[in-house]
Amino acid sequence: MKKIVILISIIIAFNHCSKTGDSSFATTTGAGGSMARFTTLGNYLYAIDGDYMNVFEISNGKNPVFKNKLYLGFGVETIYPFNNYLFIGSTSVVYIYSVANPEIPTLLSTATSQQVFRRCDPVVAKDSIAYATLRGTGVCGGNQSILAVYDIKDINHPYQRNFLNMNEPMGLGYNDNTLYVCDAVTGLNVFDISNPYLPVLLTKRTDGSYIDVIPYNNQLICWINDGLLIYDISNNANPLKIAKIN
Amino acid sequence: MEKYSYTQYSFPLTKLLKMRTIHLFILLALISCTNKKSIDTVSTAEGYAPIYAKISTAQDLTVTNAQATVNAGKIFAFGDFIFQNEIGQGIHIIDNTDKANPKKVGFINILYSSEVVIKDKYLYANSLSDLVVFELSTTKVPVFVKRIPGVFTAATNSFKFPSQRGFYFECVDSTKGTVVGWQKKTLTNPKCYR
Repeated sequence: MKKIVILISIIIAFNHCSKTGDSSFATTTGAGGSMARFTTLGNYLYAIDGDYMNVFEISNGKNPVFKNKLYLGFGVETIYPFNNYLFIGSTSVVYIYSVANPEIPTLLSTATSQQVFRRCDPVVAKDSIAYATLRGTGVCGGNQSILAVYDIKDINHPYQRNFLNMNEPMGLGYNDNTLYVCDAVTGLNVFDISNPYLPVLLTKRTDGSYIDVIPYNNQLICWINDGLLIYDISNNANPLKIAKIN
Repeated sequence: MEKYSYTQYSFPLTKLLKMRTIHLFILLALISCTNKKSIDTVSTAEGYAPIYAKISTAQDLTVTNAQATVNAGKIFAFGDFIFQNEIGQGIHIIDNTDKANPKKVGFINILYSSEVVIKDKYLYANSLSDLVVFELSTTKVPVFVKRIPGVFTAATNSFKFPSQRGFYFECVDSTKGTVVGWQKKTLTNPKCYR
């Protein structure tokens, strides 16, 4: 293993797509991107504020109640819910918090990488695997960027099982056995993750500078630097461009 | 009146109280040196002036016509709709009912916003240091329902001084509002230096 011991960021993309097609807003399940700093889990809204996290109780949705402001650590960037956990990406490690007590989430473990010294995160989690992009370019510092594959079977001891070199990776998301990774101007990478620890690149799309993705109801919604790109992913492995909105 | 618990937030204060007196003096001295240095009087100097938050207008927190995307921000998918933040300005509403022809249908004006998340029929966003809530009504036009002021302090704290050191700056006048940035400027009789 390489000498440089570094921390990796995990951002878990919880792509819990609702495919019910229910048109009622009250029962619809929404989905956010992996770069988000606000997320909801259960009856709580968790909102990153600098190095802190604000906790709001939203049982009565129109009247959030401020519960807590918790110190997390330096350089916190993203938050993603997965099962009963919050994956919080910072510029040095990924924190995994338990929400067993939803008003006071507690730190369970941290995930690190040995390949990248400083990086910007985002992450998605699926079953017992988490995929994170670690961007070591630009303002994030460092000079190497990867897609990291973490084993999170034991949530108290996550570890990196594999990694792939990337250019300037940003947000990511998955649908079934397909993983979508934004790599800025170099394109949107489409990976087969039938073998979850060994992502295989299937194809790329280069219709913009990709920042983040949300697979949702058979569509792939992409945040690009000048707006939105929407693809049909009825066939996950072959995104078909529907529209650009800007 | 809203009541908030700041139990957890008191951590840094607790830590501060545990510091030895001498450390506190050093800390105070450093703060004084950095921010309130007695400065030479100059008539003019290149430096920085605060940019104050725009005063909320009647249009703020209302829904208006669709507008062009200038600084594309974060996204959220919800049913047949997609929401995309326009950094610092608000949130684009995209109707995706016709999957082959999604289109913008409106814009939620929220100054100094960057985030958007929806649970059930409520949309949560930030507006500088405030949390704001919109209800997605049956007509699918979001309606402002709640503001919780002052809960996000990181952004405003980071603008208390210009980030650049070694420059004069125009002292902040809190009566003019909240500082949201700094701009380079030729200053007359500047009183602050960092």
